[in-house]
Amino acid sequence: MSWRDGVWSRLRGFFLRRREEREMDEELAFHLEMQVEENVTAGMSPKEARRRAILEFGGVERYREAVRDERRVPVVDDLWRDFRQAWRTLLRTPGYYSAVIVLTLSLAMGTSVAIATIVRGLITDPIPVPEADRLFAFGRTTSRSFSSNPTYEDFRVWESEVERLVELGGSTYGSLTIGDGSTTSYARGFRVTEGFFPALSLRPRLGRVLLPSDHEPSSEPVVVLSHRVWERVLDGDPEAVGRTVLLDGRPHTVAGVLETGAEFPAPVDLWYPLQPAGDEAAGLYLDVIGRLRPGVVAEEVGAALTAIQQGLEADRSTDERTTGAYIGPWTGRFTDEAIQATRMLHIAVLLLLLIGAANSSGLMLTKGITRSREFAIRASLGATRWRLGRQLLAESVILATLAGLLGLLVAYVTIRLVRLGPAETFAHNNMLGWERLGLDGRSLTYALVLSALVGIVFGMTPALKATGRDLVTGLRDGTPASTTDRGRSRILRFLLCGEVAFALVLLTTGGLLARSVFEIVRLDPGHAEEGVLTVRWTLPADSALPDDRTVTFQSLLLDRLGAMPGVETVAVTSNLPATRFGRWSRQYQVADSGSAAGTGRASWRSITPGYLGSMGITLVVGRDIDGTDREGSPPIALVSETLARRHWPNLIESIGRRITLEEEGWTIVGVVRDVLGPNRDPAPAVYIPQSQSPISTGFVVARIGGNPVSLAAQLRAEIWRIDPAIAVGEVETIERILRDTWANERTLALLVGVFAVLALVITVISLYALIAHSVARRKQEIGIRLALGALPRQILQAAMWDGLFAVVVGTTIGAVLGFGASRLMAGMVYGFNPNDSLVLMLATAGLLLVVVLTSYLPARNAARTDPLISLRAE
Amino acid sequence: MMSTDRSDLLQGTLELLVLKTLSLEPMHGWGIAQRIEQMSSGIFEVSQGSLYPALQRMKNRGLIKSEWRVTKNNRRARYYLLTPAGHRQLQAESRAWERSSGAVNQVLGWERGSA
Repeated sequence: MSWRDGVWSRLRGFFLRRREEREMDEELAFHLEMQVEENVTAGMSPKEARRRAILEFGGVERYREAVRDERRVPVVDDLWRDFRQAWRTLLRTPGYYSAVIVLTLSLAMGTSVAIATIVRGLITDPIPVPEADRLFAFGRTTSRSFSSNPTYEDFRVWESEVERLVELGGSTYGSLTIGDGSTTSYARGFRVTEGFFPALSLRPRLGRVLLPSDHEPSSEPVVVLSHRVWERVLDGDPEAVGRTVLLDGRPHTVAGVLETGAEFPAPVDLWYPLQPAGDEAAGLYLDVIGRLRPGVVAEEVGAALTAIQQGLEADRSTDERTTGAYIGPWTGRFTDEAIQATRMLHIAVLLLLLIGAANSSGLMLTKGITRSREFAIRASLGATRWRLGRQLLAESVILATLAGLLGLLVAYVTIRLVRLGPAETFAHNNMLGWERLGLDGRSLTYALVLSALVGIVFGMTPALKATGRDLVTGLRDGTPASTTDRGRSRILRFLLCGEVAFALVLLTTGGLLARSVFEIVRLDPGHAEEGVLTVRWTLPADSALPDDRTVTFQSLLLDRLGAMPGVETVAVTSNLPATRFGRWSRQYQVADSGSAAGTGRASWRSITPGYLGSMGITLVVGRDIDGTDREGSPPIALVSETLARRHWPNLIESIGRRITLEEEGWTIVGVVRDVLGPNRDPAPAVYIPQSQSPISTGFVVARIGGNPVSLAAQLRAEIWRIDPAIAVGEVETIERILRDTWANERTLALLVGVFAVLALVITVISLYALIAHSVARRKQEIGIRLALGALPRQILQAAMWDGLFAVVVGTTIGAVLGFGASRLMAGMVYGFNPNDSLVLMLATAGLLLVVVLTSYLPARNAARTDPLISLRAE
Repeated sequence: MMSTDRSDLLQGTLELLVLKTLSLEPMHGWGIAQRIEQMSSGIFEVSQGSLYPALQRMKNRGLIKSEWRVTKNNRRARYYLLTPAGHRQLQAESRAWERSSGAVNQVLGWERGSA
């Protein structure tokens, strides 16, 4: 009860602070008056009486503090007071330092918030699965690889044996195309086992997920669609459930539609029951996920599965020995590349934050010097070191919070830019959700927490430094150029040194990344880089076309597309350069050569006449494939330059030779220029006439003169007019395909480049502040020296030397760190050459140039000082 | 000004004396200080530096409450009043004081035989 009263009284005191203060003052005044009266009664003069009364009372301020101490809620109240005081101080002091701190920090924190939001939006959030941490991925560990998928049959054994520990679900590739009767397009279908949806525990947006009864052989075929394919193919029809779609031509009823982002495993568009037919089960390998049952830990399941798998393997004889079962966290659609890239970005952001914090720390210190007197006075009046330090900390936290809020704006802009620019990268990496990227409540929380942390980190040094001096020197510190701030200058130099080092690391890696992108762009792909449209197609299993359907389809296709206005030439190919599609290579042998030198691997392409022209690939020697090469005529082939040179240094010698691919012989009639593959290597290639090697899936390549956007829709419609069951992909321009191949490198280079520039800006501000401060402090000394005959040049040198020493040390450290960092990155980015001396030199020289210029300006001011003015300064 | 035979009050003792003073009649801070000095024949000097914080503390604990009243000389002053809790506290502390001071006296041999 009394305890409650006490809390109440304190709370009341806290909220009714003003009134309490007023009443306290009134009470004090009354007390003094009474004392004065008594003194007067005792015979003193009124003036003397008052003086004595106040004297007797002791320190008025001490009395107030003591009463306040009793009244308040200590922690909250102290903090409150610190922040208020800090806020007032910030408002009172000139805004220069505060503004610079807030601006620089907001840049660093804004990018940090942006990166965190992007990473969360792309990697963490798009997994709309309840209790995702209870989900695990399962596999076999084998003597060959860390993890490989179990067979369908083994999976069924697992499933029944560990049923009480974990709900297992398996999935495997399925259908490739989806049709609605009038058009057909591509959609990655997955076939899943009964346990798949229960393990994920997904709630559908429309209809239902798959039920165990759907897996019975007698049941009607059903399919669950992803949100994306529902929008794309069914136009987001709210009545989609019950509609029929054709998966690879076979009708399935739509059972349900999932929420956006629910696309597992990998990017997948639809799911339907896995019902292995005949002997398929034996050769089927499953991706396995599982949700642990309550109270079960992962290790338990791992041990159980290892025992089961070893039991299964005991009576098998395979060259690939299974060593046990693998269990690992389920990461949705994480790719190693994405993880690595985000890790690099996180490191870059951390460096930037450190630079920002160091800069702010330095500026606070600089600012603190001008306030050392204030602190000394307050300390001698009884303020404790803790109290003063706390106030400085409060100031830095306030500044950091302001910077964090401003940083949200920076983050907003950054995210908008990312959505405009590198978004292709995300599409390229099958990352979902980038179109929904944006700041939210958690970004705000993150920004605020980050602000507090950064504020404390950068406020710590100044707080310790400013309060840790003895009072006498502090009070005497009116004298400029006193030796007392030598320690502080040392810290400033140390901070600057670190900033320069980190900035150089960012500059070098950013520069090297940019250089690698530049290298990629400069590479000649060996084919046209613009003006070409491509579209993927796949013939249905049962087509309305006659028996000789491939040939019929192609002649129809080429005739009709070739007649379209805006299309100059058109051809068909089995696969495109610069894409990962169909990049697998095949063994070939050069005829009449039994030695190993006569064999190799080459990628294989089936093309129609006119492909070289449409794609802009140059014929080096010999002839192109033409209309005379038909089924039944002598089989012929074109080879790429790299392949030809490998066996016949003189290219002309290759003409007429025979090359054997998969037991079939082809006569080489021409050599074409190399075309770069997705890894930018001139992979050896063999081109074969499509008439002699029919394909049922491939790409249309059209060289166009008109607007690609308007042509794209017509192109698709024209193919569907031949047969609506032909699957037609999205129309892509060759520019887009090429850009995609280096999208990752470009994004990384862009972001690290931006960080590097920001780092440089912040470092320059820091350096400028240090030199300007040291010059200002020594104004009097400089004046004296000038008056005594020192040359302005000497003053200039002396002033610049202050910062340059730190810069030189920082550059050395940064060069070493940058060297290490770029070594680490070398394996991760194409064309990344950590020894690229041009970039290394440019980065270092650029940094040095900028810092020298930065220190020159304030130093020049110092040298130009009029001795008379500066001597009078204090 | 300050005589050597004056004693500073221990905190607990000060509270006890304040409670005693207020049990007689509501009083303002100045009055409390005067009264204590009077009652102790000038032995105890109540420093303002400790009186007001003590009053605030006691208020927090609900032993006393305060209200603004007008003095005999027509001045506004903050008067302190004993609460029921304060009354109980006064009784409890008085008994405790009696016991302990009696015990101390006994140890020092000033009061023989009394229990």
